[in-house]
Amino acid sequence: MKISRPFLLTVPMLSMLLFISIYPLIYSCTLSFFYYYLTKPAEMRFVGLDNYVSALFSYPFQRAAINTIIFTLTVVLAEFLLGFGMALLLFEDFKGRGIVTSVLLFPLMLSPVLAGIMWRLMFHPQQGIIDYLLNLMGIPSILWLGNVFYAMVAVIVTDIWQWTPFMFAALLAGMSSLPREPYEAAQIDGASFWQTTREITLPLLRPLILVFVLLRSIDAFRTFDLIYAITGGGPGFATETLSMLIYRIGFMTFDMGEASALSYIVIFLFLTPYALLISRLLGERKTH
Amino acid sequence: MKRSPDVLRRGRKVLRYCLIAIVLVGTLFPLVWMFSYSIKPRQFLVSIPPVLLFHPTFDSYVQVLQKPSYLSAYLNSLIASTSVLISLVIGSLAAYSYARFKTRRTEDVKFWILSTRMFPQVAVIIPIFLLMRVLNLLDTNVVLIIVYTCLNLPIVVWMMSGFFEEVPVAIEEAAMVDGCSRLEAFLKISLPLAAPGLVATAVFCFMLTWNEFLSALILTGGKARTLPVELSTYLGLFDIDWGALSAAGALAAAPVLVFGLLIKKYLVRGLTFGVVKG
Repeated sequence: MKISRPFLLTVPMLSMLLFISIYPLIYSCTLSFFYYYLTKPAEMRFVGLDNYVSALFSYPFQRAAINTIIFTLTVVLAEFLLGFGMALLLFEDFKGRGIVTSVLLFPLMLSPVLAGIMWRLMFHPQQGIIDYLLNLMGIPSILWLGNVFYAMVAVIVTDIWQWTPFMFAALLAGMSSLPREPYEAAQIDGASFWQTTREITLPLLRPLILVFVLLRSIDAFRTFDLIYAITGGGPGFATETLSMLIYRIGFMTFDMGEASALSYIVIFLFLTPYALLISRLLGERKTH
Repeated sequence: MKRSPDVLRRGRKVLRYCLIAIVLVGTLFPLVWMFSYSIKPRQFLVSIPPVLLFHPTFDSYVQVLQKPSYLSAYLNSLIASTSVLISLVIGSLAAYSYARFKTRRTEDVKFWILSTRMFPQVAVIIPIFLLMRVLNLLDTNVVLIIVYTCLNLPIVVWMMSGFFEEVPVAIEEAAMVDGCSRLEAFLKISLPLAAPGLVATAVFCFMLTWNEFLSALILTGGKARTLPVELSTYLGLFDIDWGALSAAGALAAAPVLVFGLLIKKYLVRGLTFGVVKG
């Protein structure tokens, strides 16, 4: 069998990728059928689908699934709307636009842990600036991070702060790559700003918007660092997403079997459709 | 009463600048707020209402820089970033192959590469954790270098194949006509021409690696801990030392902010996997 040189160039990369993708998938799958506590290795035994059953019917999993869906949908929608707005705002060139754009990208460059810490400071019950400002306006303090509802709000706000710049930058770049002719024609016809946006920008950007929204959804779905830093999943299970649940089961309870089963459920239930969608859209773009 | 178009236009302009200013403030405020805690004198750190005017001091920075675990974390983060160089080499070779020697399956393979980044990291890290445990590699710098190299590869491949595609084939072919081997053409022509792309990819991967948290959290303990994990350990249950935490965070964020600004042009390209060129 002749191995071509181009293929050889890709072998090191492919082997390492296999290590980080195929190997964990196979191992996880196998492990998910076993009872395996890291702290009690001697008791490891085959239990078939028990892990899956107990995971699917457990309150933490169902709660985490709902939390993840709520978080992802809210965050992606908000980030898209805000990001689109920001892109529209900054589309026309003005003096200092380069610097402004750079500054607006800062949140993206931070570690999500740091972003979480930053906002935790602001949501803090006593020293937090947010409650202080609320009080100034006559609104009573909210125990943000200790309240089941507001903790989720806090987490969502923080994620929006950090990741809207992504949507903004991507949409701005997309807008800049659109052809000029439709806009010139619209200007000649006397279209207003909103008309242009609705009838020209949005339809032309649609394929890109879909790709960006999907990319962001996948990442929002997996969010861990940020939530870990602000609330750690709490209070109770209020902000525990699927990623945090898997982490807690695997590395705080050390139930590796159940954690593996949960991982698989998550991977197949939620991510496969995402991956298929993105592949279809990217394929669409290539043929344009 | 109909306003003249000039007034309308100026009003719109003012509104636009106001909105931009609001967005700027909203973006910068948390950063500036936290930074202010890093230069606040100790006595004002816990005061309510928060004190706005004070004499800045660098006490918190001194305190943080004297903490052995922080310095060690900084060093560990630096060591872990060397994985970027490794993934650049391995990834660029593959990227060149995908750029120049396209087959019918190339797009599929590239998409599969992209999809490896879509799995929830927790799910993937469990088997790797167990393997590393068996190999006694937990809590070492090596394990992070290995894992980060793997994590950076998809990005390197996607970004660099885009950059290599932008190098005209004609130049390489001209060089080969003049007697260069393919390898020479690659090293002397394609690589230098794609150098800005290499730098951008390197910086982008550096940013991701520097900020990476989950793998470091799971795979390291006290010895090989990186900065993000170290920062998370300062989040005590009750009394958080905001001064030290802010200073630690500011020092940790500094490199990425600087480098990120340098490659601003390519940031969007990296973030969207080459779908748009910033």
